[in-house]
Amino acid sequence: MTTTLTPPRAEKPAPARAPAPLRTELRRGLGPWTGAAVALTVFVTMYGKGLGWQGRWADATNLLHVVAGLLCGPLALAAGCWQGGRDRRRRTTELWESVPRSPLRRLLVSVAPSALWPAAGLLLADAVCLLATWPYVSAGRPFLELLAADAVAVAALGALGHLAGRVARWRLTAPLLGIVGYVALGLAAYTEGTARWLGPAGEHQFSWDRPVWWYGPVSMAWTAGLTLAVLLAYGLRPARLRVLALVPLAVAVAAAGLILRLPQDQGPWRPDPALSRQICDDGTPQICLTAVDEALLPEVSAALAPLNSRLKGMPGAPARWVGGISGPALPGDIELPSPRQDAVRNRLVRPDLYLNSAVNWLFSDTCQDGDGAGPNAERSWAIHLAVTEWLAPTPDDYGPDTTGAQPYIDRLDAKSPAEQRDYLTRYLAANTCRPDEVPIP
Amino acid sequence: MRLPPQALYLRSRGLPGALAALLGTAAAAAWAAWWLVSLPDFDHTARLPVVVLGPLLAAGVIGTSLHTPSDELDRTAVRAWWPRRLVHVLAPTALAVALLALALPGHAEEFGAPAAVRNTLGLMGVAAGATTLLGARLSWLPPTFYAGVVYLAAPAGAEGGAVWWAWVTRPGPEGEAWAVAAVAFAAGAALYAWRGSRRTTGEA
Repeated sequence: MTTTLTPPRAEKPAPARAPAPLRTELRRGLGPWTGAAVALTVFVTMYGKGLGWQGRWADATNLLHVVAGLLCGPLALAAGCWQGGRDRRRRTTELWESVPRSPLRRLLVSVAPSALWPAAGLLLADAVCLLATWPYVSAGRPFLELLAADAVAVAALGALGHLAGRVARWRLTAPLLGIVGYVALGLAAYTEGTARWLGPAGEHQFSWDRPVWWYGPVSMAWTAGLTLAVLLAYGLRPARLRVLALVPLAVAVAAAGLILRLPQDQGPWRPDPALSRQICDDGTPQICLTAVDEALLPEVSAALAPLNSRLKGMPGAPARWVGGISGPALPGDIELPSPRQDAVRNRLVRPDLYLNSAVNWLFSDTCQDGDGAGPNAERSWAIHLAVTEWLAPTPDDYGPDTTGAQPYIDRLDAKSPAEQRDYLTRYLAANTCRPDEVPIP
Repeated sequence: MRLPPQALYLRSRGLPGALAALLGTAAAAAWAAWWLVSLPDFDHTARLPVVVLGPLLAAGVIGTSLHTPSDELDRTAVRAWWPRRLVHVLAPTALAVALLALALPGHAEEFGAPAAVRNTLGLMGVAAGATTLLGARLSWLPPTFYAGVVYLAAPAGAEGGAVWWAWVTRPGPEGEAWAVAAVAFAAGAALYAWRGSRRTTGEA
């Protein structure tokens, strides 16, 4: 007996679907490494700059903007250039030509990792830094539209670098492009004139300003439009379709025109009254800071408390200590040193040093040329040092040598509280520009 | 005409082009240093970008010249390769050091010839090491990344161990910065002489 062995009928397995080319491109090659390098660049620089930027949105945003423009941009340019030369190095250019996809589509897929990964790394680093800033800010908002414009600028530089790498065969193109990028973006950031605001690293260090609402979107239109025009001009075929590149080019030119019409010195930045509004405590003398530094008010009040307890109710004592943009506005106002420079995460690092500089600012008179001279000038300086030292001792590791002032300090310490108060009143009333008028303790 | 084997070696590595690029780098560095100092409100301390970027470009030029188009064939040779590799790193580096030192005259205590020499040696060491780990054609990337990260992050003073980790931004005479650069150069050159470039057929 013979039997026929027939294999059991099985369904033909469905062919495994190849992953989309874009996904493969994004996962392979230098792209992910570029994103990681960009994020690491931002983290290291932000950490290396100290953590003073954590207190104000404007400070954090400005530093992130400068790092993105000056450091991440050239890195994206060089890495994109390397990625762009990949097919030539692998000798797969002709293979790509045989793919049944339009040249523009192939170009966009291969440009994607050079543009998207640096932008993604930058956005991740921006998000982490803004989250680290959030608990410590007092007023205002992060300028998210500027950070988004930075990400678009970095992506645009990556894409332009990619095209340069495709076109140029020279092996030094990528490092040279990176170095030229550092130089060009650095020069653009420090030039005078409105063109500075076209570059991706134009710096603005003023904490009571906000950018005009349209600046972020228009900057994006400028960088993205320019890059898209170049990509279309390179990738569109047949050649008659390249006219379409004029559309993004027109958008970019219009955006650049808008930016170039900004005022030269302040560019897109306008004062924001909500940020420079004064917030005061209820002590005597009163301490007033701007709204951006409101969270520092308790720290400053605590640091100045020993001085204020001596000055309270004294004739000639300041009525208010005023810090920030407005400065002394009323009679009796005395300017405060900026507490933000000495603060990390809303805590004054050296309250003793801050108190000492506040006392120095209290006793600083604006003298004319020729004032402060004469036979008693040296004595006057020693008394000034002694009074400052007595009110707020200079920290040991800081400030001038107080040996010469020590006799006066001892005399001040030996006085009764009423005598001390009397002397301080006379000292505050004296004009320290005229050494003969300075009372001797 | 029959060329001597040395000439064939030089040509296969594109060294004439690399030497021309080194000369161009030094000329550009000299001009940039002169231009920066001539600007109003700037003095010789403004030469820091030249002291960082000039050696960086020189390291990129020498690093990419370490690429060989016939790696597998080279490795079949009966002669030991390490002396040739060592000479290939040392000779162009010596030339770059001399050219960049000449390009930045004066002010040795700040950003003059000593700082340029140190940075050339250190960044070349990083590039030579990267040649072994990543391949010669991408060897410029690690020194570029390092210099980019450190340039803004470095503090103005020496706090936080900056003389060690930010050696590329330090003034010329600091011993710690020199030590890091010397170790980087010795390690990078030795690694390249020992292992050669990473084989990068079909690289990404």
